[in-house]
Amino acid sequence: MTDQEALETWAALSAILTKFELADVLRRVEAYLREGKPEEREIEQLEERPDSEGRLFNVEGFRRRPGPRARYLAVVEYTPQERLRILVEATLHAVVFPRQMEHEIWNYLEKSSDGASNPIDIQTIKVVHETPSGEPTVATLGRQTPVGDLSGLQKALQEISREAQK
Amino acid sequence: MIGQILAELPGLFGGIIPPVLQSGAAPGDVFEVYVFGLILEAARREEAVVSYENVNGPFQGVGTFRTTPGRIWSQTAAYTHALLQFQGKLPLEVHLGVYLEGKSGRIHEADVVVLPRSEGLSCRMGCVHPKASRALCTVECKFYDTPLGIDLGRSFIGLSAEFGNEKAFFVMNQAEGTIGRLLDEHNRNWEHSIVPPSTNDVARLIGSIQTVFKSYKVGK
Repeated sequence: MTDQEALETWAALSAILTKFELADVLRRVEAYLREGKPEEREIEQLEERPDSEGRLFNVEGFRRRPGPRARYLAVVEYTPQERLRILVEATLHAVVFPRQMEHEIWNYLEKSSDGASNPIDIQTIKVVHETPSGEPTVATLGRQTPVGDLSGLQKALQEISREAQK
Repeated sequence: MIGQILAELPGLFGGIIPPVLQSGAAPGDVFEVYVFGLILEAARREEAVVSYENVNGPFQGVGTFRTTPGRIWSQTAAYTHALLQFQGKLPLEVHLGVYLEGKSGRIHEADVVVLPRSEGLSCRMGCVHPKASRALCTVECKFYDTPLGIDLGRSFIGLSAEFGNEKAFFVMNQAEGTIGRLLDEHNRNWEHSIVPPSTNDVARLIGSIQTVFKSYKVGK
């Protein structure tokens, strides 16, 4: 994938996320990308010449330290392809995986201990967020997850990620 | 190729977004309940009988799970915890989102904790926080849609010192990254990529928790 294709795909995916009220995912990704990518670099370390004491800020007063180059951490910009892959991964984690987990929670919580006939009967699974003041917020986990659609979306996003790696 | 995928994406999003909005549960909350389910799975694989109980009485078919830190005795809602019974052993409880007393005497949140039932009952009756020293294991759950910052790893190193390094687990949905290297360097228990498609990583987490239960089964 060329830089231009990666930029165009980023723009298209961003527009879709915004359309489906998932702009907060985009904002978090942009914030993450602004921090830059840590990258190790080898540099020559300098040391003061023995006869340069007292001569501050004089470059000639330094020489290359003998021995191997030292490794330091730098921060560089992500490439358009890397940026796209991070956005795709974030979309998978924000949209696809939570729905898959929701589906699996039911299986894990209802499963019978003997692995056979008598699953535990659970009608509803509620998730409660307590707040310091006021009523707690309650969400109900859905039992019916559109696994087929999720799988299609997961495959499409993973295909974009693979193309961005090429 | 990409053009075709992009053309299909709106339809694929449209097919699943309405249920997301109906559920209303934050992904991080769903993740905590998912990890709770994985712990129950680990217990079953070690032949525990799993059942449920509410803070205010018998389980009535409605699982109510708290994903913000709370008091184990709180009856703000009919909170549910799991009961694990291993043959010939004293029963255990699995809780979501309760405060524990750490080594320093300070109170900290445990996203998931496995406790002896006697500790759970005592603390609910006495309206006090369970002691982390009595827990079999604690799990710190982190669900982020971008790679986790190193600050979360640093926080966990402090938290696990309070709970006990050997029993505290850090579990995240993201790949290992720099945070994994940090926790590995400090010999902490940690697992990464805990999402349903990563079957190998999920199995490794279940196996790690199985090891905790295996030790409990053979212990005095």
